[in-house]
Amino acid sequence: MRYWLWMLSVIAADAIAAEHKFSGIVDIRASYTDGIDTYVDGGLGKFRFDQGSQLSIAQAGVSYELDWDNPLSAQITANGYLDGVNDNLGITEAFINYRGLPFENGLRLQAKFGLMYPNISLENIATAWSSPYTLSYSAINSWLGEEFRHIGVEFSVERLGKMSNSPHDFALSATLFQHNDTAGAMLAWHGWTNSSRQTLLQETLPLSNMPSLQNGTLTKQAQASDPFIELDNRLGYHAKGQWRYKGQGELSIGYYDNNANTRVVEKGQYAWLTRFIHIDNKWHLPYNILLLAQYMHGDTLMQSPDGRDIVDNQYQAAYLLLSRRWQQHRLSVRLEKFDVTDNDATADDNNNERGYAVTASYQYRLTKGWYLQAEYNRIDSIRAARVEQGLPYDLIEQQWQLASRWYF
Amino acid sequence: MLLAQRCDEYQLDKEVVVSNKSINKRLALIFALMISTVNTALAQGVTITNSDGDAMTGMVVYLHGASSHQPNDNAIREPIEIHQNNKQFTPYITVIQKGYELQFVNDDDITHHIYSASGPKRFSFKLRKDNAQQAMLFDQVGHISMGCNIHDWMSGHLLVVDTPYFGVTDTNGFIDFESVPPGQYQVVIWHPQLLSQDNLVTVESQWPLARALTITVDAPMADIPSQQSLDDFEFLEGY
Repeated sequence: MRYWLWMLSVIAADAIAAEHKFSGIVDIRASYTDGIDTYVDGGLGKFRFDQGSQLSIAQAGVSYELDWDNPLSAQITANGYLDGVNDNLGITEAFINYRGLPFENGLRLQAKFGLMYPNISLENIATAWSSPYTLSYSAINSWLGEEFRHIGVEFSVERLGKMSNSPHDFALSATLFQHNDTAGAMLAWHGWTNSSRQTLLQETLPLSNMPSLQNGTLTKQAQASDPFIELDNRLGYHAKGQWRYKGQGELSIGYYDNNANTRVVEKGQYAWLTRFIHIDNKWHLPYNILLLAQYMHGDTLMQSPDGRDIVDNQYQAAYLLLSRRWQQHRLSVRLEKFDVTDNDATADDNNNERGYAVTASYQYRLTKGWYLQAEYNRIDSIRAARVEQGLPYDLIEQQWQLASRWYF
Repeated sequence: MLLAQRCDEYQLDKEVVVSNKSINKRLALIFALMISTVNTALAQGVTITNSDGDAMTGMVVYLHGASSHQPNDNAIREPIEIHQNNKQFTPYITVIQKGYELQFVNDDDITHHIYSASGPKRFSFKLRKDNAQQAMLFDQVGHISMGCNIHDWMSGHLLVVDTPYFGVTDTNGFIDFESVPPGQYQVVIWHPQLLSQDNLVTVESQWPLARALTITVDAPMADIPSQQSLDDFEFLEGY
């Protein structure tokens, strides 16, 4: 991974006739959480803050872009958190982008190479992967932020309808990647969350105090998961098709498979075979209401080196977000449903989970880049694994957040 | 031809004469002179309406004729500019005469990547933020459709014509053609969304016009695409 970052900086340093651009976000947040200790620091709480009140720099993100006069550009993004849970600073994305000019028939080729997110989230479209709608992301995108990043190359072919006076655009993309071999571990062991953290390149993710780690089935598993490690030297892939209707919205369907070899384990890091399908819809409804809806359904498998299934989970999550802006006011409401179904026979590792989440967020724009935002989050879930750690099976967690977000 | 031709009478003169009787003679003379000038100008103009009789705004109209190919010494024009303003091509349609230079100006605080995807001149350039400019000479006639490769919803059109007599209709569907040498002309009406062969309709006309000309275009218009992003948040990163 370091080699690729080094390559990127060499190419960037060789820049001629390029525009340098910095953009960023500083999110200062006061929050009160009514729940249990956060998953970020080895708890099973579904929010990023511990029980109680917290003043934090919830996100300090900066993105540096080099934009050459040709169709190439390069971008590196760093994020920092000072939140009393896990204060840290690091790289979250670094890639080179090629965006060709459309041909006369409307075809356009694009390629992206480097450390990047799989192109799935409809929420995280603003600077440094922040969301313009809510402070805490949906369960689907919180999971992407935590366990998904890869080094790979993404190719896409688009057909722009405007060249033929058609309102329809179509896009197909295919990504080949490595360095995402443990994806699935955190979903299995702490379940779905509503978070606004992104795992930094150098970070590992502490597991909760599961009895199976101490003297059970999982004693060989490391105490923290290394999410962006390459274990089996196999390529994973992500394919996605998209239809866009001019001025109205877009509909995508995609399939992700990290193609991990589950027989590989190194220093307590197991390769998890994680696959899912995702369907994403963004649409402009009447009365200027924006609809975002995403659905994800998949499975993840972790095996012992001799091929026994240790974790075999099915999971799904969906959210529906409605957002409307009135001049400097924006109101967003999100409803979610999620579950994990444990299909393996490992007695001391029950990953079953089921839950609902509600988010209501109000944003007020003070100046061009300065937003005040108030948000309420509520997650109502049942999770068997909480009982093993003396926590309630059925739990309602709530969170109130007040943020000043400055974009530049 | 999908056209009907209709002529309107202007009756301003008669009304003015009636009301003049009780007014000071000198003032009346000046007033009448002004009115007659306006009337002559109106008489040399063209109004474009659709089949419902509604004025068609933003239509390109130009005159083709034997004497239209020479450069017109009187046609000293402001520097022609196409602005990138609020992530839109402004104006949406620009017409220039062959051999003239066009200036692209970026009013936004972000970079645009302007390109032409079809037409007689192919170009692409990144137009940096805050008043970056790019000049370009157009020496071939034709329609050039332009876009921005960063903001796909942006679109603009450039029509290069081989005549100094051209313009775009105002909110009343009117366009003024003054100082057009006498002769037989083809009046060409063009719009990228006009649903006819080559997006245009033509009608023959003799200049100077005896009276103001109203042309009814029967061909329907497609919706003019709104140059609006799906997202109204300003700090998007192109994820």
